[in-house]
Amino acid sequence: MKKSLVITENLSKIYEGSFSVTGVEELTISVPKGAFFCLAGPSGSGKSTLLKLLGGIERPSRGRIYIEGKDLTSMSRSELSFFRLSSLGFVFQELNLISVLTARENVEFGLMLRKFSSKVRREKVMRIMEELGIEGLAERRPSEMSGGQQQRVAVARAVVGNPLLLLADEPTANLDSHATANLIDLIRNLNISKGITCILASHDEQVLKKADKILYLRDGKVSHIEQPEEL
Amino acid sequence: MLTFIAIAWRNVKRNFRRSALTVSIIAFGLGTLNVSNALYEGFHDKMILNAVKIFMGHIQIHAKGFHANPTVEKCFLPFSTSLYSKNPRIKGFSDRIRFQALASTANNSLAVLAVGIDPMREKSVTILEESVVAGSYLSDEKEKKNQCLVGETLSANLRIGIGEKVVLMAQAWDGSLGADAFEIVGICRTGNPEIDRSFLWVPLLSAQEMLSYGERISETVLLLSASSQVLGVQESLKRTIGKSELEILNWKEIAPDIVQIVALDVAMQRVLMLIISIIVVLAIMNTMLMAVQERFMEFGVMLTIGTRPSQVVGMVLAESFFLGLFGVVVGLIVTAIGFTCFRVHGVNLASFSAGVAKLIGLDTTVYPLLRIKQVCISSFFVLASAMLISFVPAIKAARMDPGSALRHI
Repeated sequence: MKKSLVITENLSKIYEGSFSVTGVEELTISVPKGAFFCLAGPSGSGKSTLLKLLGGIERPSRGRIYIEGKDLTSMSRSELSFFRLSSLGFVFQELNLISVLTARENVEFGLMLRKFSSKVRREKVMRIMEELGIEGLAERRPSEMSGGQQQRVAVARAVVGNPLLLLADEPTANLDSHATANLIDLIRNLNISKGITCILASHDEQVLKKADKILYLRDGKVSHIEQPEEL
Repeated sequence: MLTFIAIAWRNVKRNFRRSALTVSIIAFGLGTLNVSNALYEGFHDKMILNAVKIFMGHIQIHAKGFHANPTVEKCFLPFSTSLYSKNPRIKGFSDRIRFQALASTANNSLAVLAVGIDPMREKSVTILEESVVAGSYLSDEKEKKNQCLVGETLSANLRIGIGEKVVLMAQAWDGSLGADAFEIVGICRTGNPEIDRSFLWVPLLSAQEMLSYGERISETVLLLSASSQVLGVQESLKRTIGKSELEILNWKEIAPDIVQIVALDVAMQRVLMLIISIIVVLAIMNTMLMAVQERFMEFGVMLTIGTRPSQVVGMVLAESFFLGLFGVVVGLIVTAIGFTCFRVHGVNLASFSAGVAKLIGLDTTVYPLLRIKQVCISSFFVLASAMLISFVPAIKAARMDPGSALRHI
């Protein structure tokens, strides 16, 4: 049995305000290293909230999150920031890229924050862009690329630093079926070839079909778990 | 940090129209500030120079108490001319007798302020000779000692003209009544209404004779090479002369009203600087708040992937710095253009108000005087204000919770 990379224990997130809204409630899950894990469920079921909690972007109201044994809930803001930089990769639904930077600079951005030398940065960026087949887009700005191309660049930026975990929130939501298939194949290949654990939130069947395991959420709780063969 | 500076620079370029508008506001503000400062400086300089060159000089030496109460018995024997002529900072000097007199003509009698002057030396100190608008200046020849010059308004009030006689009567030094008749050889228009209305100039020798002064005088007036040397020369004279029965006064002590006008103008300048700075600050803050607001999600993504808050602060500040720097550069160009225009054509303040002549004297056209130090201070002040105020949007961006930013995605 594979060792777990991500473990949550009784994880809850309640958004306080005029009305209290429960994002996730008492979630206890475990994601093995190297898994291609999908979160599914209707809008408002807690997929995005769970991803943000796992990414240390939001703090849980209760419970614990461990990623490779490290307790995210006990980390300070700056520790979390460094952890995200060194260990996690993010792909969002849209507006992933810094609009004034070229594709190459966007991919390089995280490496620059990690203070890699320019030579190492250049090599890593060129290698990943070639691997993902986007080397021709290197000098284009986000506004000069299609949605699918932008998402590929976002994936390149997320994985260029060899993260432990790739978190993707509805990465194919704004793509057509062809671009969706391309992007999912790309992420799945990276998952297999580089052993990067992937957790994707999606309700796109094309995405779910590729998953090792699908966690269905409803009202912030796990409603059921499925294997792709069952779809 | 270079990447963040590059991002900041590209963001400035990305919203070209907004950046250009912000730069224009800063440039216009700085240009207005510098040109108005230069005009104020020019106005002060002109006012002081006119006051000094019409009558006052930079430094006056009197018998003690003469300035406060100029009576005829307050006089002194003049010092050797070498005391002044050997000092390279003293451009000119002139001995005078100032006294109140009754001027009588065939048509009228009026109280006047008579000034006994050495015609040659007076030329090195004041512009009296240049202010003669009719007739001629006083002759230096001893046999022509009964000539006089009168102010333009005074000549009209006495209803006399060139070649006519005026009799002066005044209390002499010995208590007797001194009187003498003088032929009017010239009429003066100094531009100072008070002087033109009540002053009358006679040769020093005639005044000394009339007032039984012997060789005594009531004041020595000094004109210096530069206004900045006043305090130094005054102190050096005090040390050299060292007589307690004399008073050595500089123009600020003689005419405190001019100092007050300058002080008032400086206060106005500061208020103007404050108002312009507030406009600049609001323009920058508005631009930067908008820039942060519209890139809310971009900052969220940057913070999510590990950008430190301090790096976000640095990036926003760098954007402000670029805007401020361009604003200052364009502002200096605006300053140069405005300064050149006013330098060539001048501003005739008399066209705004006839009363201004009373303030600044003969020449009412003011030319700007640009002080580099003042320009540097204004530029630094504008840039520093822009940077300082940008901390508000910068900290807002840095403190942004990436979770709430990404909730917008």
